[in-house]
Amino acid sequence: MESPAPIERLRLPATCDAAAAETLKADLASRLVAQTPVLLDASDVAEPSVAMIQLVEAASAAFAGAELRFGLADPSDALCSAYEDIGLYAALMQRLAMDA
Amino acid sequence: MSSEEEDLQRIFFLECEELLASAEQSVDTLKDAASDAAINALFRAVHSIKGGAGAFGMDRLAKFAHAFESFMDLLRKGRAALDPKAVGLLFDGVDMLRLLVDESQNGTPAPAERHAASFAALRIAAGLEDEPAGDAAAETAGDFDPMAAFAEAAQGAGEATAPTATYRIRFAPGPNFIKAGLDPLRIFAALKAMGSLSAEIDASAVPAFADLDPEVCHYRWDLTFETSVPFADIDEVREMIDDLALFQIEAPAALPAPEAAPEMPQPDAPEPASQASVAAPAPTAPAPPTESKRDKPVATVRVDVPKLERLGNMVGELIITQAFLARQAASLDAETYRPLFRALDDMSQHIRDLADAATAIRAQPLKVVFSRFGAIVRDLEKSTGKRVRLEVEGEATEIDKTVVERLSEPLTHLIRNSIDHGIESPEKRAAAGKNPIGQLHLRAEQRGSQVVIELSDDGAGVNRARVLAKAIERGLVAQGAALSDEEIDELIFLPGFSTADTVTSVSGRGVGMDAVRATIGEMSGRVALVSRPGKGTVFSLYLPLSLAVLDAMAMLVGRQNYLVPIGDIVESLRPMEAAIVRLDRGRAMLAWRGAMLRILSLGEEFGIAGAIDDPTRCILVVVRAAAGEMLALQVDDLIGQEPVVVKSLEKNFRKVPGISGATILGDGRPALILDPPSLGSASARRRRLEIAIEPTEA
Repeated sequence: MESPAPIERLRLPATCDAAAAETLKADLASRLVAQTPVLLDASDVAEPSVAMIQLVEAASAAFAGAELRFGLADPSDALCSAYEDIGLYAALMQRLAMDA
Repeated sequence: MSSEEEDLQRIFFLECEELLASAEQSVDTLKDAASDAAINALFRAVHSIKGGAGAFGMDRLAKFAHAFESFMDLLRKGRAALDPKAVGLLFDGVDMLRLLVDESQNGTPAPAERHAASFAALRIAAGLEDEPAGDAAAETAGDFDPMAAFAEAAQGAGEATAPTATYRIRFAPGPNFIKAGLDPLRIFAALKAMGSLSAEIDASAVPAFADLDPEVCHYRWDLTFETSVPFADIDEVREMIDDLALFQIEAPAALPAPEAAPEMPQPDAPEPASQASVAAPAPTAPAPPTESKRDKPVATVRVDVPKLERLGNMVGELIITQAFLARQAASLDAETYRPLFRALDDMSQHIRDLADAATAIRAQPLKVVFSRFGAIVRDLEKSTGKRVRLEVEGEATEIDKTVVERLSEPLTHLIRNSIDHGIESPEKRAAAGKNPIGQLHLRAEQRGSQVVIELSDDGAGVNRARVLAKAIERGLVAQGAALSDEEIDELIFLPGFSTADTVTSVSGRGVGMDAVRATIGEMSGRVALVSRPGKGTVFSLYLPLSLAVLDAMAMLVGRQNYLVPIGDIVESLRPMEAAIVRLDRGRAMLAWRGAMLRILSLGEEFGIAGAIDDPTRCILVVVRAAAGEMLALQVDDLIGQEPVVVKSLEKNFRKVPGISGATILGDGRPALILDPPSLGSASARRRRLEIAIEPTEA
């Protein structure tokens, strides 16, 4: 029986704007194809955006559909506040739980 | 500039028109009394112009708007008094904004001295005189940052002036929201700076990861926002994202719910253009914010005029087809084909409703153009030293948008003409026993399928001796010609009549009275003039309500079909011999309701073979002619009433006196549409000419 692929840790940039989300989408898509679970390190995020959060949430659903682990680790205060502001704080908690 | 940017800029200029009209209306209100609503409306209009100008790099416009907005802010916060001087500044400011918008749009430079004076006055009034003029508008000039604008809005809105209110806001960014450099997070930050915010997200529209475009926000929110800042500050946030998002501010559950809320836009749907609808906030304290009194705006959508024209043309084709069907069916047995006739009746009604709806879509209130004239009159008062009171009536009257847009120039010229040539100086008026303040009355009303705009003054009237002398001098009239008063008055509409003597720096702006008549004529309208020496002059503009569809009565003369607009018809009758007063050379008058009406035989007028001569064997159609005159048109028979599609004769052939256009009837035959007022005067002129010539020939 084949052992699951090791989880890969990707670091989110400080500025998580729409352009960064575009780049992350390509990175995550390749991990999906490769069936690689991903953990996003969000400790450096200073300028989050809705574009990035929306992408992370969509990716989370895609990874779950592919039965791959996906989570967020060490979210910065700025990212936590952004999740809270837009009404997705509960979702953030779920991503963190998956990290645990 | 990319085509997308060009489109955005075009939309910005369109919006500027609306914003300037709103600003002019607000200033007009403030002239009479202080009004928080008017101050806030003016502030918002100037603020929106500033934002757009900054985004498009229109430096001079952005800087001026910035100074204007700063002054407005002081007024809004009660830190500057709304005294006559301030009102004067506002009038000048709006005028200059219009000139600067024109400068940005058409490259027509705003007058340098006036700009400098107006800009300096506003900067001083706004307390910006110590701030370098360039820096003052740095945020708006060149690289406009929408995020910085939000920060500014939030910062400036910190002062609580209203009781705490709870708003429910539906927020749905459109597909270009993120692409425009915006982020919903900053909207939330701006709101949080003004109060307490909680968000409920709807993520149901987010597509699958593979299909997701990160530059499109698919989230939508229901926000609950508690705040004590004035409603205008929250509305400012809405204005900044207008056209890019739905931002609907609603009354909370405690208040009567607003009517059906518009659907949230789908991210892949077109941008919501000015869709935001605003309902009154619900204060928890007894006193409601001032803005709570204002009406809830109706959701609107911006549509390109060519699309509306296409709709109008298609409705026109439908009308022709319907008329054709009705004529074909007329020969069928009504009993046998009862269901068919019922269906045709229904279809006729539906098409009529459709035509009305298509006309209504294109209609705009005349106040869009009327609102500018207060400032123009004030300018003219200054430059001529005359005193004038302008009264405006019927500005809610609606007319086709293209007519509204083209009315500004001819009406401006008429107003300039009235003040320059008609209304006398205060001294002369006083000497003549008149009120030193001249009266100018601009009035609009719908009469049938026409809109009539009248501009009357109580000035000296047309100086006929001078007009005639000038016309003779220019060779427009032969020496010794005997012209009636009306004919002399008509001379001012002749091309070449507007020259340096008669057109001063005030009315001489390259538009003569001939151009006024030509412009109105191009819109299938006409201009009439009635002047009384020493009493004043009335200019009447008759314009079709719709440029496309007209309700008309079809009439037969010989084998020709003619149409008269229903709105011009008073009555039609077959006269008894006793009602006909026969004159020489086969001419006749109709005794009608105690008056004698000239009978105008269309057969004779147009030289139609086979037309019936005897009026007692004809139908006489009593119509309204120029200057309140009635005229009896003699026709062989009436065919019936039908809506027709108006085609311009002038565009396709040439202008024919007495004819306002042409159309295709239901049987496919072309027919001319008569214009009774000009038909009457053209005929009268011809007859007078014949009478004048005859003695010489004899």
